[in-house]
This record gives sequence, structure tokens and C-alpha cells, in this order.
Amino acid sequence: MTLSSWYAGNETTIITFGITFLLAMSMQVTMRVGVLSLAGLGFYAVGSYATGIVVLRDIIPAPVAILASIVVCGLLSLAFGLALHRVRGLYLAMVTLGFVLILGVIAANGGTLTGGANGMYGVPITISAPEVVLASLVVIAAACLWERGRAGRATNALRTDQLLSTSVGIDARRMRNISFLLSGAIGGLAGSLNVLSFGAVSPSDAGFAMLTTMITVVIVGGQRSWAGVLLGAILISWLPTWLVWFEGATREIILGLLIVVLGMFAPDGLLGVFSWLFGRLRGIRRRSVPPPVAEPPPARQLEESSRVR
Amino acid sequence: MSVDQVPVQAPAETAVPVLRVDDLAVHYGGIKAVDGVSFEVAPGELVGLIGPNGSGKSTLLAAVSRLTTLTRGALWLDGGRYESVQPCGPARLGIGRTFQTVRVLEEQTVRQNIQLGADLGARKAAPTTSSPLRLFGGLRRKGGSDTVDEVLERTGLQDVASVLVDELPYGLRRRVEIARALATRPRLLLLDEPLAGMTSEERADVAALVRQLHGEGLAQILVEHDVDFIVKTCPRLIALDQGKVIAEGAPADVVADDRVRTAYLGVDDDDAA
Repeated sequence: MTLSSWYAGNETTIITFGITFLLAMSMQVTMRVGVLSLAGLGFYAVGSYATGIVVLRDIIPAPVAILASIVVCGLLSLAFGLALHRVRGLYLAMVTLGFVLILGVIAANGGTLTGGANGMYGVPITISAPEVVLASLVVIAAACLWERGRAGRATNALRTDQLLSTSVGIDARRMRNISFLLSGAIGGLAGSLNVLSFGAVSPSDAGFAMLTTMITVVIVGGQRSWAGVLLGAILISWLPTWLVWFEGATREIILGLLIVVLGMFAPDGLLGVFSWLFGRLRGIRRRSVPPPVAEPPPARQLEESSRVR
Repeated sequence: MSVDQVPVQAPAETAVPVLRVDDLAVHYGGIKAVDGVSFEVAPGELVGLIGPNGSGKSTLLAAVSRLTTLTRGALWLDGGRYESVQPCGPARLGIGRTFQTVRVLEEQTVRQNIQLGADLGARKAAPTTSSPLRLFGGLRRKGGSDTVDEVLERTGLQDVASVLVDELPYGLRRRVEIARALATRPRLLLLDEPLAGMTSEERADVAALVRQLHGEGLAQILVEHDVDFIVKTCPRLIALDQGKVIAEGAPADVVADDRVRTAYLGVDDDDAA
């Protein structure tokens, strides 16, 4: 099988993969700083519908609509994050879930503007696989910057321990705002690409299936890095074609089992598994006993002292 | 020449205090955790903070490092007011701190933990102008690695630099935490019960580090339950009870003070019993 014939057979899957990757990234950028927000899906829906509406009515050309979607969704998300600056943890997750569901209801009841429950059809298709891949690469590049160097260390620390981070001068509020901004911008981008590559959008784009897909990609792939999200998106996009000989429901069950198993044994997802294997191959530094500095206390006292904690 | 190695300045009265706390209060609902506390810390001074459980010592440290909301009061660092800064502000201005329960990133190496502090220290040493690129952390991968090496050496952690903190005994974790705070190049270091939960060897170890830093001229506030240690280590003590300063001065005098003995050492209780 040559590359071009593979491409021809997989073009739609590549588009789905790219959009899924971007959608999951919109969730991962907030998770990276320890914020559990599902709002990225909401901005995905906003981006999809808004782009669909303006392009279908020929108000602005598609490329401008994409840029506008990125900027507007980013700013809306920032405002959303600012409005919810006191809401944390699962409460924030619930509020953002509510936001997504409300958008779904609005889309389903938007009359001729949104196409109601049937959704919007006939949007001119101007986006194909290369553009989606390009957009994914741009987001990966941005994520690389966000995850490396000082910003990377700061976001890592923030996810683990906010008090610790604050004590070394990391501005938790600013990081959270930036992550909301990025989340909305990436969500909006994913939405625009979605409607412009499939020509249609429906309320199910803000529904539970999309929500499940987004969370699954992040959990299965690994929430710590864009590379995990990439792995998750590849898996979720091509798994159905690898499981062709199973019935539809069986596929769902296999996927569900995969999530359960990875969630139980690999909290850092596939990426965690891979980096663990890689570490084992390199015989990495996790030593069982650290070299003595002064006079290390005997082992039993060590155990006691750590138990005091 | 590093910024934090301030030479010990001679007469404390003539110098601008590193820290000045004026009428500081932190009330949680009806509980007055800190209630009108005022004191100063001179450059290079090591001040011990004592008091019974719940007397407001940790809350006072949290207030000075602005990790808690103030009910009232004013704070100066090196003569500059700072009580209205954001939670991350004091660290940026030069207040380093450790926590009662050791807070370290356990899944990272000692070096990576200290690097987190050095990121701030490096920025202080070379403040960059505000630009969009700062959003991505200046793009430099290892800013302040000199600081990390220096701090590793000062705290005697060179040999475990590449060990995961997860693998270290509690005493060394505390040292990592202190090292991280030092890497931020603080003007003032706040240590909240650095000896708590340690074996005697570990205690001696950390105590020696505190004294060493004092010798290097770093201003410190030390909260500690180990009266013996604090009396031997700190030239000046402040005693708190129910959120108020009940005694202040030379260790021997403070420990001998009747109110301190009543509140903290429980002498009256013992007599009664």
C-alpha cells in the first residue's frame, strides 16, 4: 500500500483526527495548570456554529472566519475564566459542563439561524486534510513553547501544588487566565475547521458523545503533554478501523474497557506508559537508595519519619 | 557575586529593616488568628517565633508571605509597602518560605525542584522588559542554572541533585524545600517548623543549615516548637499567644517571661496538676 493510496483511504479519518486532537488540546491546556474545565467543547460549538452561519450566508470569507473564531472564542473563554475565577475543582467542571449543555440546547432551538435539531447543512467545504494537519502542527508548536522552559516548569508545579508555586512567585491567576484564553482559541479553531471540512454542524457537536471523545483522548493519551493528546487522538480516530470486525456496540465496550484499564493502571495515559518503558530501557535514575549526604538515618527511622508526614 | 549574600550589617537600628509589620491582623470569622501584631526584622537577623499551638505563628507567616487575606495591617519589605500585592508578589519581592508540611514536587529530581526557585531568582537578577514572549517564559530552557549549582552546594545537596525527591528521606526533602526557597534569592526567609517530624540526626542537620544561613547574613524568621533549639539558635525571640505578641527580646528573657511560661510552657498547668 503506497502512501498516496493510504492517504486517499484515510483522508476523512485524518480530518477527524486533527479536529479531535485540537478539541482535546483545548481541554488539556487548562488541565496542565490544574484546572478541570470542559468549556473548550463549548467554544468548539460556538466556533462551529458561528463560522457556519457567517460562511453560509457569505458574510465573511472562510479564512477570515477561522481567524475571527480563534480570537473571539479565545477572548470569550478568557472572560468566562475571569467570571469563574473563584470556582475550583469539580465545581468548575460542573459549571463548564452546564455551559456546554446550555449551548447544545441553544443550538437545537435556534430556528433557522442554527438549523434547529437537524443542524446546519450546506456550508461550503473549504478545508481539507492538509489544512487540518497544518493547524494541528501550529498548535503543537505553541504547546511546545507552553510546556518547555520556565513556563513549562511553572505550569507543572501549578498543577501539582498551587501553594508551593505561589511561594516561588508563580502567578497562578495569570497562568489560569492564559490557559483559558488558549483553551477557547484552540476550541474555536477546532470548531471552525470542523464545520468547514464537513460542511455541516448539529447540536450533537456540543453533546455527550463529543464530550466523551474529548475526555477519553486526554485520559487515554495522557494529560501532561500535547504528545499524550496526540497519541490519544490517533488511537481514538483509528481504533474503529482497527476494530472493523467487531459490531458497533462491541467497539464501544472495548473503548470503555480501555479507558477503565488505563485509568486504573496508567493515570498518565499512554504517554505515561511509553515514557515509563523508555525510562526502563535507558535504565534511568530512579535509584532505590539515594547516596548518603551527611549521615543518613537508619532505614527504620526513615520510615517512621515519613509516616509522621 | 550573588544578590542574596548580604553582608551582615552592623547596628540594626540605623539600617532599614528587612521586614516591618505594623498592626497586622488576620481574622477568620470570629477567630482572631493574628490580632494586631507589630515587629521588625533587621537585615541579617534571625528571629524566632514561638507560641503554643493555635497561637497564630503559621498564620502570621502566611500573612507576611501574603498567602492569606489580611483583615488589617501594613507590611514593608526593605522600606517598600507590599501588603496589597498579589499572592505571588512577596516571593517576587524577595520573601522565600517553606511550609509546615514539606511541599516539594516528589516526581521531580532535586535539581528540578530547585530550578523552580531559580527561575524566579534568575528573573530577579536580570529583569526582562514586558513582552509577549514573556508569556512563554523567555524561551530559555535553563535560566539560572548557576544559581541551582550554587544553592546545591550551599545546602549540601550536590550528591543527590539528580535523585527524584520521592526517593529522599524526610530530612533531605526539607533541605530541598529550603534550597528551593534560597534559589529565589530571597531577602528574607520564612521557615515554618523546619524541624517538625524529623529524627534527631535530621534535626541536627537542618539546624546546622539554618545557622549556616544566619552566618551568611540571610534574614530569617523561624517558627519552631523545639524551644531548646530556638533558644540556642535565635538571638531574638517573639512569643505569640492568641494572636498577640506577649513577649519579645533575648531568648533567655522571653522564655523566663511569666506570660510566656503560662501560655506556652504550661508551667501553671503543671503546677495546678
